[in-house]
Amino acid sequence: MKLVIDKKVSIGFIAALLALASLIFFSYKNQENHALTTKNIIRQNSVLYCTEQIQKNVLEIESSIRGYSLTGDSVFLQHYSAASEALEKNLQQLSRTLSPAKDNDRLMSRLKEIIRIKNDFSEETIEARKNSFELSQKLIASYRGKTSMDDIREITGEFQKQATAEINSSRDIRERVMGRFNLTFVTIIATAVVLLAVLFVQINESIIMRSKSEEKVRQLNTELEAFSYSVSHDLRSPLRVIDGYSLILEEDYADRLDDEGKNTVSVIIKNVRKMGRLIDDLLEFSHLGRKAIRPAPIDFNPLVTSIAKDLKAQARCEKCLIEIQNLDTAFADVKLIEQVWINLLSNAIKYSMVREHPVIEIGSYKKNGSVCFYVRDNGVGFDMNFKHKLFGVFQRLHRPEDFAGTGVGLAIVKRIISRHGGEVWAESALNEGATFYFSLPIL
Amino acid sequence: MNNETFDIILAEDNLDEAHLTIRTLKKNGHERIRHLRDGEEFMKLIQDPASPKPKLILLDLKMPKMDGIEVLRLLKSNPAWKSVPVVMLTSSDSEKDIVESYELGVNAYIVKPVSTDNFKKAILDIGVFWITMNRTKHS
Repeated sequence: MKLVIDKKVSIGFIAALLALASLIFFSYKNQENHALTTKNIIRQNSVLYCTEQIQKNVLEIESSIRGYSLTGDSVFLQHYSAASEALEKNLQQLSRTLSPAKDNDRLMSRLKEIIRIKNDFSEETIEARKNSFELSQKLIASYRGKTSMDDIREITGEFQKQATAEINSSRDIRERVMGRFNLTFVTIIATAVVLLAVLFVQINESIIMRSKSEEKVRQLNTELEAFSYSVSHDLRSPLRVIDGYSLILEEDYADRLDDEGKNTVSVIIKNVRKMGRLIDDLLEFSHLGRKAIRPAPIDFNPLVTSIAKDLKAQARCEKCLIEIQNLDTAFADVKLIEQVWINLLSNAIKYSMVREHPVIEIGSYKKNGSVCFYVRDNGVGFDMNFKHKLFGVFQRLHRPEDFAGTGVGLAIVKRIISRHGGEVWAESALNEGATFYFSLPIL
Repeated sequence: MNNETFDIILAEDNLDEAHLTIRTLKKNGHERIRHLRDGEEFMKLIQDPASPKPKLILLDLKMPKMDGIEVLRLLKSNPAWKSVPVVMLTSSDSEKDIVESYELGVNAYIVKPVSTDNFKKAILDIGVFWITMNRTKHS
């Protein structure tokens, strides 16, 4: 089966899908952004922590130097070396986490320089204390340690100020991005919901419309049935009366009619009967459209052989040669498909009987999931320019005085085959015979 | 009521058609024919116990007031009329009508062809067959 999608519906669905896909994209981007700012905040917090630790370490160093200088107790020396070690580590940590800016590099190298000077001073004081108490007191009183302390506080304070500012701006950015994302999220979701709602309404509408038109078709069919019933009764009845009374004229008043009168009556009778046949054929044709199809697998070989035999006898065409190849099995309603074979074969006989050696060939082949059957004759054929008229109701390509018929046979063939889901077609050239094909789907 | 006996009762609303049918029958030796115009007339006849029974009934399906199917139902439910052969005459070949008629016990069902020749043949073949059958049964 071919998949047919309404253009509007497919556009709507694609738009809704695109909206949802963009939502995934935006939420991924937002996640990435959020992670980036959060990382920066963590980093700046680490800067804050490191600078505080450095300040603390420097204070510890200062107080342990003073303690040692006063008491000469080596415990203070242990404190001193622990604090120095911690300071060194914190300095390294700070230079790793600090934002890479030119200004920061300069400040950092200055801080390192000051701390180096401070360390040198501390070592000097310790050495001095080992020799004399007074010398170390003098060094401490020189305030050299105090000045470097202030410088350290100033630089680390600058770092802290920077980090705090960064944290604040990162938080701002994060909030702004979050707000924007929420708006986008709501907008996209709303768009998708609206699109789907519109689609739902449209699909629903078309479903309702379809069931309505199906109901209408059923109603029309019932009306048509009533119509053809009344056609069969009311049209045929007056025709029969005309026929009967014309016959009375012919039978009882023949002696009072001259030749032209007799001829007139016979023309009336001939045409009344022709109209009767037309009505009957038309009725049969309309019946076909409504009859339920009951398909079953059919072996066409015996069926077609017996139809061919009957028709040949009926047409009294002893010279007709009907060749039947081995026919494929197919699914069809046996009563209806029998009519198809009767119509095609009687046509083939009718139009080839004028030949000295009429030959009719029947065969089948498989193609594209269908079984195709054909009936080929060497009769009068038809002009391919008029092939579109072949299968129409009451369409005839030959003069009625040459070939009898009402022009419904092939229309019936077409209707039966299309109700089976198959196709009919024909090939011919004038005076070179004709081939009629029909296909039935392989179930 | 007319108590004259008839061989054939023909129920047909169309006078012209009735005339043709009667003419055909008369031409073939069946002189005693009674023509009824509609179902109601037929009903009165059935309800009168004194009315003589024919040898054959030709019944049109589509008639005003009371159609052929209803008349057939009445005939087949009446013990006195039940055994009279009935041949349905109709212009319609509706499957529903055919099935219903046979279910009610009609003896034959003729779809009237346009050609009078064919109609004559059908009426004479089937009608005369049932008249003959009836005669053998009664004798």
